[in-house]
Amino acid sequence: MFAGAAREVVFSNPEVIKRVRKDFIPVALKAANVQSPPAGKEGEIYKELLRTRPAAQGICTMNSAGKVITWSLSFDNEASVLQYLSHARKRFANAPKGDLDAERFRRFPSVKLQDVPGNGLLLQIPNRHPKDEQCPGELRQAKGSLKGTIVGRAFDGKGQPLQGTRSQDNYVEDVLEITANMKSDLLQAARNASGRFPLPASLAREFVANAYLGMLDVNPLGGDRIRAELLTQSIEFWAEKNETGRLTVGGSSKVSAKNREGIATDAGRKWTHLVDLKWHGFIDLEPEYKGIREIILSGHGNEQLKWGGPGSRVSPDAAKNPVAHLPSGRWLNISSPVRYWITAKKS
Amino acid sequence: MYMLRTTVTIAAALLCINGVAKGAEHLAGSAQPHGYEELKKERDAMRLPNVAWRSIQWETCLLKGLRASRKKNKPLILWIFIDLPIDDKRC
Repeated sequence: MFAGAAREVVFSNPEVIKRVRKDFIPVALKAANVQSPPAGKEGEIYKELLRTRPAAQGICTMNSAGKVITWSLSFDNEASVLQYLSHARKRFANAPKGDLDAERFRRFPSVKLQDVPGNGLLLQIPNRHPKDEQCPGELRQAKGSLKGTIVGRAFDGKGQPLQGTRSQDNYVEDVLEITANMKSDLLQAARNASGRFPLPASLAREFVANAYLGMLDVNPLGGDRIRAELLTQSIEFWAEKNETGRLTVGGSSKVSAKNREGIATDAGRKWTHLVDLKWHGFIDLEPEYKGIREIILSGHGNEQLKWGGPGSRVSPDAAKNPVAHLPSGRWLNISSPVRYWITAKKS
Repeated sequence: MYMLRTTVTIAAALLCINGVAKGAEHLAGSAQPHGYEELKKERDAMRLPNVAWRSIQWETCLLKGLRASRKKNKPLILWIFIDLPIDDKRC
């Protein structure tokens, strides 16, 4: 939940955006690279994050020598976020390029954790990666795959899209990856078909697995990665080709899941999610079934999502002061009509 | 009398189902299949170009970030979050 909550209530705040753009160099890093630092010089800086971090995810400031200034996992209130930025600037001014102790807060500024003392090591940091080294933060898209995007919106009772678009409960954008195998299976099925034919299951699943509201932690098809127990999975897509090489696509999907149970570390984690959609769209193929040129697909239906609630570790106070509860977020209880649009185009 | 009551009940049920279906269709957007161009226009209209969180251009390379930090004499702000196999927008 941390990242979704941080984006919604910290990095969507106009005052914070203004200050970050003016006074900081913003860098987004994947927690997996902190947990297992990659090889090379950049990996050495990741090790400094691992050495000092108070939790797997968080917000942190760093000086030009790659030394942590101050970590924080949440903030007392919205004003405290700006106070945190000023505090970090002040500490940076005192040691812009030197070693320093890493300050850590569970909640800034009222709940401080023990500092992690500086280790005296100052790295020679290169300006860029050597030619033969891939940046660990770089987009890793499998060879031959097609990148797609999805936009999803929740609607009110009058059929109008909900406007609270800071929140992923109402508005989502995401990316999906149509792998070389998915493409090949589709092209082969289209080549062999004489009428309507089922869309390859892996491709249909990729569409459905990205069509949901909310943060990564509530993907109904997320499986063990998000500690989910799958309850329903019904995915049926078909396609029919016409003379121009365009496929008309239709289908339906119903998926639901909940938090898994019986594992001590999952205690207090409570959620359920149901997404029920009908699908319609088109896939343009290249001549002689040599590739996919473009995809446009739409799903519409209903969605029910609950996160937190009584007995969960999500605080009932989080709705009033969400910046103070970033790690577990706020209660969600959503039941609304939804629509999704998936597009992908060969570049 | 029994047949008449059954017919009335079935008719009422059908009206009710029809009403619910039409309501659902309205709420979730049109259930009628759209054409290719229509779907693309609809998607473009629904994607917001200016969501607040897109106002910050996040760098993903620490080396590049630190180079900019040295050059501009500004600290880095790091946002560390869980990831997916491909560059993720949802978080």
